[in-house]
Amino acid sequence: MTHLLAAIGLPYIPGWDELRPFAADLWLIVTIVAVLITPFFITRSNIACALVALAGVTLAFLSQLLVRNSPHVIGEHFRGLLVMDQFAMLWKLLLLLFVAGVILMWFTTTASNMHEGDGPEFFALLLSATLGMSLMASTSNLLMLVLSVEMASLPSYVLAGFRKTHRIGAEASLKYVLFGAVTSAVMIYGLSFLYGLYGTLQVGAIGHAMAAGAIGVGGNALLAVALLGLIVGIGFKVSAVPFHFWCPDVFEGASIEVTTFLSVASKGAALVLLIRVLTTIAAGLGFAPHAGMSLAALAGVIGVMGAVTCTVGNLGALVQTNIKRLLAYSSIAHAGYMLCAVSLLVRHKATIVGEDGNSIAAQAILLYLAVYLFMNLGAFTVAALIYRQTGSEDITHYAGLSRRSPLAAACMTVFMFSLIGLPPFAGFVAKFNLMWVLGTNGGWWWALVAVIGLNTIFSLYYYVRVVKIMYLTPSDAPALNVNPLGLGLAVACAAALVLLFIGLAPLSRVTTNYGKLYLTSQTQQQPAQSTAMITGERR
Amino acid sequence: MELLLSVTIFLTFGAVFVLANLVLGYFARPRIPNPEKATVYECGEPVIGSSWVQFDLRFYIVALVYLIFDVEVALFYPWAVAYGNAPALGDAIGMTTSTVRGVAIVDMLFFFGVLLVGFAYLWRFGYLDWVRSAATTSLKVEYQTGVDLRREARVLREV
Repeated sequence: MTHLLAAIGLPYIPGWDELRPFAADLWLIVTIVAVLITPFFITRSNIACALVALAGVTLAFLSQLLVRNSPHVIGEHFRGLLVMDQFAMLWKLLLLLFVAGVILMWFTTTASNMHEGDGPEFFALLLSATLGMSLMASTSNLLMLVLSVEMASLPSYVLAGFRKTHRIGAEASLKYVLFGAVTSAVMIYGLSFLYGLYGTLQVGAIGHAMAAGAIGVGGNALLAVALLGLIVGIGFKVSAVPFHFWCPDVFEGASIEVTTFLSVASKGAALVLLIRVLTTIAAGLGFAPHAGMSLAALAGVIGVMGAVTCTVGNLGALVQTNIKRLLAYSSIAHAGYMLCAVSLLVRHKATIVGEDGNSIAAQAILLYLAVYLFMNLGAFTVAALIYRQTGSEDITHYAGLSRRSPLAAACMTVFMFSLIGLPPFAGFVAKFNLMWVLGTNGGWWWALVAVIGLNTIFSLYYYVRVVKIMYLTPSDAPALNVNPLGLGLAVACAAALVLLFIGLAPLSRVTTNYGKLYLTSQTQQQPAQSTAMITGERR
Repeated sequence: MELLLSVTIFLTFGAVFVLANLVLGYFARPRIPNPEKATVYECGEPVIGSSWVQFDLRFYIVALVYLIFDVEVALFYPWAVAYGNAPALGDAIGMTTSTVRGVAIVDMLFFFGVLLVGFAYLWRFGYLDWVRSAATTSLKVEYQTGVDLRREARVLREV
């Protein structure tokens, strides 16, 4: 018996100290099961499942808030499979807040015409994808990376085609799954090279191995292929430019809550994952240029990718007439802005302040994501409310909205101005902060600042056009009787954007605390372990 | 650099080898066409119809359920081996035998429980029925005396 144990390694039994940091993820798992059990007891299961899902997400949010200051939370867990730090924590909180918003949005839009009995499946899928996106923030192992990306992707493919009788939805789902399958395959192929080169799945250990020495004949070419694979896989999720083709079609075809969910959660999770992986590797190399692994080149690739992404996104949005497609291109552009800031993280130790891995670039991205969450949730909510009333997603049908539904028009105006990045709204703070962080690093990052500035001017046209049609184009269409709950959600988002702008100082303080990345290079020794925990090393 | 060279040689040789043989065959072979040769080769069997037929999606669901339980059995095995000798394992990791057994059973019950919930969902809501009827879904249908909902669902099903 003992020889068998020796062959497979000792089973690993995590203690409570290790489970506690992931309280939010555990609550999500419980909620997924609860959502599937609900229809056994309640006949009108759609609303019931939505309420269960909302309660579960709220519990997950609160549990994450509660454990944030507990001892042993920060660091590596489960033999290094997962890592928890302030950065991951804030992303999880933002994600859960956002998913709660999406579920609220579902009540006001699709709840009344979703086929009775589809609810459990919809929410089980939504929460599974959320779980994957939540884990993407704390992965520090290639195996977990692949698992969490797939856990986020597979339910998303199904969600995109959830309207079963909807032809465009089916097309969206198929495009998404084909594109996703190919990019996932390329990513896993690249990661297998990374494992082959360094013989470890731990991202931190890979960074240290890179620093330690040469990787043999042809190793540099293989390393380039490996990193390219990683960038392809994550670039697809972020919808960075050569891999963005799925984005407008999927966003148009999916039902509007799913579009909202994908536009923020999926892209944010991928960006957070990219930051985690690249920064961990760069920290292993000491943020220094190194033979075979030129961090400068990597930063350049990501920076150029970001610049091209935001330009293509904004130029593509100029000609859109469908509000969902317009917001899809706008989300490509915003992902591009954030990618520009990611390029800082792999190159400049200067963006990392202090010994605890506090990074101002990571802060800027988190702040941007936090603001972007409200802007997109709000804009899509207003679009959904108008779609429910008029059955149209065409921007020309927004004519005279200022008279037909003044509050909805006002909210939409707030979101559009905030998406441009105009001063009275939080979008300005986020964008300015991002540009400031890029600018303080000097060098070619000034070019990125210029690109973002130029893109803001491009984006002015298509965002303001929506506002212009709502306020200046006359229309004798009847007044809209929009759902009051949905309107409430939109107003709440708009208010959040104004309040976040006013509360600039507290906001920056929050992100200061949460920009901390756990980097293995700074704490070489293993984190504190509980007595119940064992290291399952082979004997 | 050496690797690049060997990869280049490998690729070149592969491409040249295939092309050269095709060209050689083209010039060397006799040309005696007949209709039998022009048909699709189907392991020597005569071809009956196109292979572009639609398969029923329901086969897929059955296969998927089978796969889930297949994987589950595959996971049972390492679990049984790892926790099989609880006293020895307890000594090795500093836990009592009963704790190790408790952990083992909770582990597997949780995993199996989640699977069973999914399976019960499939079963209860009619995904395993060959004809999925309205009566087994959670769809609320007005009950009328003398109307068999299962039969109605079958009749009304759009084809």
